[in-house]
Amino acid sequence: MSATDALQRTLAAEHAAIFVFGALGGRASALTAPALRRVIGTAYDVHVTRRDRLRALVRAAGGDPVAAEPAYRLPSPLLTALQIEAEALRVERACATTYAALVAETTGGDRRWAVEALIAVALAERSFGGLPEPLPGLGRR
Amino acid sequence: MAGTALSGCDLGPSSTSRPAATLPPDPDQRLVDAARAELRGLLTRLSATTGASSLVACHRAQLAALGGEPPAATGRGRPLTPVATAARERRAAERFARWAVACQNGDLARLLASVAAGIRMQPVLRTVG
Repeated sequence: MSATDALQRTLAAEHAAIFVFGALGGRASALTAPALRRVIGTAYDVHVTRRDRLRALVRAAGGDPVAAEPAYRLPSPLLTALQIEAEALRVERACATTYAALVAETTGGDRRWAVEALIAVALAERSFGGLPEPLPGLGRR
Repeated sequence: MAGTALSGCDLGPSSTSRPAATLPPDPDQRLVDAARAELRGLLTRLSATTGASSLVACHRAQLAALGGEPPAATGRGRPLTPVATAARERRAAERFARWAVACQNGDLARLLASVAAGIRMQPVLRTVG
């Protein structure tokens, strides 16, 4: 896989994350869980920022950034704070795996950014009940 | 904990059937050695530190993934204060992140970056954000 392919794959993952966090924010707004709404809103904003950066990186590499899918499958049910939090954690873990792969496929400044993103995503897992793990992004061990 | 132990030796272009005398030096071997030494140093000190068992388990898993052996005489190091523990862990996370950027092998870079992220996830560094 080329670095551009890895950037595109990461961009696709961020498109999905943004969709899911948008939906989770909507579901959370129906609950009396202001703290959960707040962290979901923060996560949404962070993923949007990373998506924009990835688009720029793909363009800088001479590629045409992949577009978002019209919709993404959401698990059901997403009715309780626990269910919403679990889905948010699943998305962050998936992003950690994607950024770890991006680290492997890039060099220089792009890799530095990917390392920082991996660390940030691992830290974001804690906002959704994720426990510390020795090797985030390398799969559940 | 399952998983593939990685080392610079395993990952470099030297994994062929050529005689050992002709193998080119692994450009990442010094980084791998430094990474293992960092974790072994942490394990030595943390094994003597009260309340650091989760950190010890974390670093043992990370060292195993790097193909390293834990220090034999664990528990003989000087214990670390909580402030010193946080400082050492923070420094280690920064080093692993730097090594991840510097190394040539992509798979090794992924592992080193994951170690950095794993350290940053630990509660002792929670205030770092």
